[in-house]
Amino acid sequence: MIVTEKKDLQTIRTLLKNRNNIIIVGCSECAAACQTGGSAQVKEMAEHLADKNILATISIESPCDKRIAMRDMRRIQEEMENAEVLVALTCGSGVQALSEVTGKPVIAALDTNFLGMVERLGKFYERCSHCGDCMLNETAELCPVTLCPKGIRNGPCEGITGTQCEVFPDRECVWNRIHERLKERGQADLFLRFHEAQDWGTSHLPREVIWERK
Amino acid sequence: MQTLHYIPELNTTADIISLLSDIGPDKDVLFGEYGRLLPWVVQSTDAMKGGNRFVEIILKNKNRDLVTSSLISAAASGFQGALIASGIFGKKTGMGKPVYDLDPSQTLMLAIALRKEGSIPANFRIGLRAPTGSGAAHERVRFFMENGADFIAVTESMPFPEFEDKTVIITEYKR
Repeated sequence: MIVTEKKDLQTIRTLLKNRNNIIIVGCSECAAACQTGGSAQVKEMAEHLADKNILATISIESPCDKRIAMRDMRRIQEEMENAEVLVALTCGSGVQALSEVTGKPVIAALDTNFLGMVERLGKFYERCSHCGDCMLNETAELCPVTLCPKGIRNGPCEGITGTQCEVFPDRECVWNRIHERLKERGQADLFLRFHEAQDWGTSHLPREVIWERK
Repeated sequence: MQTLHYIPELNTTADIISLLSDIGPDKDVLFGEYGRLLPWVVQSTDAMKGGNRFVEIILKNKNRDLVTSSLISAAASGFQGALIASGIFGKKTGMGKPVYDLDPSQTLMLAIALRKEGSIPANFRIGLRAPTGSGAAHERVRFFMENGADFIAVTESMPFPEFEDKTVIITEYKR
């Protein structure tokens, strides 16, 4: 899930200066789960911006999916014609998809933080850096690229203190956890398997996946 | 067992000479990269005379291109060897993005390859700061030794008895 946080309201207000006719767009998936862009937060934003002319509010299932965004935005086509700006309570992908789909200026009302694992609502943990070179099959399902603050692919580093991380002394070094798990599973040999440096020739930004038609 | 006297920060050339006279010019010295001057500046001073001179190459904030040139520059500058370390990661407000493009194991492989191709001389010693204190750390040190490291460096004596002849003790020099 994409974890987002709300920008402060004053920032949104500054960005809306001299703009009156607005549409507020929420996300019914990730941002809703983060309680940053669900229907309750869309309503809340509308209340905060009550001095503006709010033409419509809408929650889209996946605003980052241009097909869905286009379909749902058609429902408010009339309001769209008069809108000066959209306020998007979505992740950055959602903001950009809405901009491309509508051709209107879109204000990002949220900051997009990371791809998160959800423990329960309000507890989100970064576990994947979407590096494009997954090594989880060799590291007992613990991603050192993400869980090691240095992102070291062959650890531990010399900063390990006992079993603890140099950067976060209250946390166990992920390479220690990987070692322990692999040993328990009888796969200790995997620990010293050498992991090459990431090939940035194939993973630099912005990445794209395009299926070839057969 | 060899002892390297570690000067983590180099800030002025006068400071280097002064520190070295305190340590004793015939002692083996490890120059660090945590100061305002890069260790290559030592080459232009009398500090290269005397005992063995090593340079610490920290990987933090260097991508692989810079790590490569650092290794080659260290050898070309007359150092007897390099000590590879990931580098201390400190958090503070407004800090730059920390870059760890290569880890110590990957850098060891790179250094060995550079030595094989002749970009650094065969007698240029490659060492790594050793993680200590856990089974995982011990395994990583074993990896270093099995993959061509000339030495490992520790700050406490004898955590790896089986690699005693390849262990270097680092003593941080404090004035």
